[in-house]
Amino acid sequence: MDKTPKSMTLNLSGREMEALEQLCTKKGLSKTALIRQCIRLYQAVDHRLQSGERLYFEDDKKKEKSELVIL
Amino acid sequence: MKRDGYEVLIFDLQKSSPMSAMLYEGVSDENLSDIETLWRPELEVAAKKAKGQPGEEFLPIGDAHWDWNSKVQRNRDMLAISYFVIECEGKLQAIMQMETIAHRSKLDAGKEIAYVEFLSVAPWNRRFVSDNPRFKRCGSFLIAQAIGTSQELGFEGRIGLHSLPSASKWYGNLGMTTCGKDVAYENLEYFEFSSQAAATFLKGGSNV
Repeated sequence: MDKTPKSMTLNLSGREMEALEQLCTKKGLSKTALIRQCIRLYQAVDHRLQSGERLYFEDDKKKEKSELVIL
Repeated sequence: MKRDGYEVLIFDLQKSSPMSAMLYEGVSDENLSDIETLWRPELEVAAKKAKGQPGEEFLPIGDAHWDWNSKVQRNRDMLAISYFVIECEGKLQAIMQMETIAHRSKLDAGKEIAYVEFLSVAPWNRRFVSDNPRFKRCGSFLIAQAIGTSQELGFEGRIGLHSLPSASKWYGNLGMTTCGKDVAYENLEYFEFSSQAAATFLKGGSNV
């Protein structure tokens, strides 16, 4: 379990950077913390999709359910 | 498997003195073997003893059926799932599973929290299961570690968990805030540490 931090340079478009900054403000997270969170979340979703599970969003009020397809 | 670990001082109730233990991230095969060969037989005896007793659900055996081996195998490579264990005298004394995605605070709306999914201490460290419990503070150190993980991820120490009925009083004594019973989660009581309460807990420690 290697916990030594590894550095990288990340190139984002202006809109991506804006979205990142908005999310950081909303969640109270640093950019590093938010990107680490994204990696954990994406890996978990991918793992479950690979296992044959599906990902849905459900609107409680309208009782509508839609599948999120990730390629 | 090489694991990161550090020393913690748990308390030996039989000798009335502090005892050096190690807290590790990750679960070893030996830990899983301890659960099957040392924990499970004692928990099965305790479960039989508890059956039919008044207030059975409040006895500390609600976790007896948890299959740690399956949990660990299923989540082995998942970044979002972390395991921490405490070892002392060559035996597993406590174990915790955490999830660090997709949990939001109820106290601080919209903020991320680290969620303690499962926490168990060895049967010989529990009242009722053992007439003469051995070590104290294993659970407290795991909760302190959960807060540390939350801080490391930028969640400012916020953690949450659903408590089995037998442990609710204990989590309350740690200083966690109860948000009441959660109908969406088997009606178990839900607790959170806010960032401030978590910091207070870490500063003052706990004798629980």
